[in-house]
Parts: sequence; structure tokens; C-alpha cells
Amino acid sequence: MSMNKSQLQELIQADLDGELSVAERAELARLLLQDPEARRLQDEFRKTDQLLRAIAAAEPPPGLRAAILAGSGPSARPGNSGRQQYGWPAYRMAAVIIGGLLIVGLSYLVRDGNAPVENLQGSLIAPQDHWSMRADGIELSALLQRDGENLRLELNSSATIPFEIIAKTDPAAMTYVGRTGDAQLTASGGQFTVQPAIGSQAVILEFSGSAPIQLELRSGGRVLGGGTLSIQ
Amino acid sequence: MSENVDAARVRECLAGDPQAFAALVEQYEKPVYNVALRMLRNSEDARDIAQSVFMKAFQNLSNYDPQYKFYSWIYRMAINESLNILRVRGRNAGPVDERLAEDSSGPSELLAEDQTREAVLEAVGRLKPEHRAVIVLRYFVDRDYEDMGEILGIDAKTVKSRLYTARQLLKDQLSSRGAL
Repeated sequence: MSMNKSQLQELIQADLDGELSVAERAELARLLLQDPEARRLQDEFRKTDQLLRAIAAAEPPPGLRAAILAGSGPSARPGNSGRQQYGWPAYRMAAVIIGGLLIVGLSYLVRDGNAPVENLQGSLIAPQDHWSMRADGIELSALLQRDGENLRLELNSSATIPFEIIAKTDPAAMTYVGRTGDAQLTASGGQFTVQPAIGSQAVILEFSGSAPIQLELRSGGRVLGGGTLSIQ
Repeated sequence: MSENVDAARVRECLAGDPQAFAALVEQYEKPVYNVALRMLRNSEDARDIAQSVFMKAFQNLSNYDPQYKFYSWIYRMAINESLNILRVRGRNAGPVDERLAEDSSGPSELLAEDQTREAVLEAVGRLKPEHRAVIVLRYFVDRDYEDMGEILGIDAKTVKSRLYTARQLLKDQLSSRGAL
């Protein structure tokens, strides 16, 4: 049986992974016996495999476990973000969320006596797929759309002062795919911080998967507002 | 057997036993940290990701689907968080695998053991993220095709194809640097 180099490499690698049948192993043995180039290839793949296996696992830094457990201590409850935690129907949970957002909205309007309240307009109870906000010197609109299998979060802003938009995602359910636009972007865990330039900016973040995205608008170290976007 | 133990610990944790979550952290702290470390080659990022993964696992424990392995769930989070960081930072770094061919260090004398190890890790770090992920799962947390597929959300055939490509790229890179 004739075999090209690509097929030979596959056979050698399948052998490394213990995936060959008896007949395939016999075929590989025959090829190795006949062809010095096949033996050289197998030797290189074996050495690569051995070098990778020889790298020992790194020890986590001291204090990591303590830091994790401190964050999941007695005050925290496991599964507290889960929809099924107490077996509540969805409508009851939705009512609680909307009530909470109303309270947050009211508190942020009365929290800061220096805030230009007359200029703060934001729909803190987020519509399903879009959210907009206007603060002193900042206008922001956010739209979540489905694009094939991906989600597109479109952020349009117009600002005269520096600000940032925090997008919080669930990394177990969503993966960042890419973006369009030149705003500065940093990521930490499932949290993405977008810092658009002064002026008018449009940034699109694309994700695979599907889950709600929490948005927060911040400027000068203050949270100006937030909302949750989701889409079917 | 580990799957059953993990599932029992998740149930105990949801029932309010803090020791059960501590046991899960003890068991998976090291592999989760290593997944992130080998994906990103940065110990501070790996620490942050490990912490974030366990916090999210804790917060979302009631959403965990026991038909999947617990470690698949948390490794998936670690891989996805690493990919998020790589994709954001990679925008300015340019294509990764393409740089393998144009590496200028060229054939060299035999590398000492530490240098060889560093050359291997550097070569892994130069793979495209999707190729790096299969190498990390295969070699640094010892997962088979099926597990890798479950973690990455792809079928075993795609796992095999990515692994073969990744291993070949590593072989070529290490060979060109005199490490083989």
C-alpha cells in the first residue's frame, strides 16, 4: 500500500496516542522497516512527545487556595446566580430582578448630590437587547444582536470626557471572538473593559455562545449606570 | 470514580457544606492553574484566572450539569478565559503560527536541559490559541480525545485534527532549533 507523507505522519501520531488498531500498527511497522525517512519522522515525533511530557506541572502560587476559599466563605452561597437555586419560577425571579434594578436606579439618582441629575438619563431597567444612557458629557447606546451563531455587542458612544464601559460575561457560556473599532480593550476573566476615545466612537465586540451581558458605564471612578442585555 | 466523587462534592456543596468546595479546590487548583499558565505563559494571569474560575464555579454551581464531568466544566472555563485574554491581546501580536517559519534563531548547538524546556514552552506559546489548547489539555492535564472534545465543545475528529497539526508544528519548530 502506498502512503503519502501526510498519511504517514497521521499514522505515527495516532500510534503515539495509542489509537492504532493491530492491523494499522503492523502497517506502520512495515513502513518503518522499509523507509529510513519514515523512521526519521517517527523519531522526531517521539522526541517531541517526550519533551512535552517531561515538562512538570507548575505549583500554584502560595495563597491562591486561601484566596479562592476566602471568596467562597460563609457569607457567600454556592449557586447564588443560578436560576434554579430555590426552584423559583422564571417570572418570580424576573420580578425580583426588575425590583432590584428599580431600587438601584432610585438610589443612584439620590446617592450623589453633586451628580448632574438633570443630565443623567439611562434606562436602568434594561430592555431585552438594547440599552442607552446619557450622562453629563457622555451618550452611550448598546445593542445586542445575533449574527449567525455569534452575538454582536454594538456600542456607540459620543463623549466629551473620558469614560469606560465594562461588559461582564459568563466565561463558561460565552467566548470572546473579536472586535471591530479602535477603542482600547482589556480583558480579565469574563470582564471586558472598553475605553472609547473622546468624540464619536463605534465598537463591536463579538462573542460565541449565548448568555446575558451586564454593562456598566463608569467615569472618573464613579459608576454612572448599568444594565443587562440578553437575546433569545 | 473521580466523576462520582466530584458529583457528590457538588451536591454537598449545594447543600451548604463548605468543606466539599474546599475539597474540589484542593483537587483542581493545580491543573486549572497549569491550564491557564500554559495557555498564557504568565503566572499572574494564571493566578487571576484560577481564582476567577473557582469563584464562577462556586457562584454557578447550581447550573452545573452533572451529565458532564466536573473537571471538563472548570477546564472549559479556564480555557475560555485564557482564550478571551489571548484574543484581546493577540490583536496587536499578529498571527502566531506564521511566525514559526520565520524564527531567526536558526539551527543551533545542542540546547541544555533548561533551554530545551524553555524552547518547548516557547514553541507551545507560539501556536495559535486553538492549537495551543489541545496541546495544553493533552500534555499538561493529560486529557484524552473525548475529554478534550467535551472541554472544547468540538467533536473528537476535530480534536484529533487540531492535535496532529499542533504536534507537527511543534516538531518542526523544535527541529529547526536543534532541540530534537
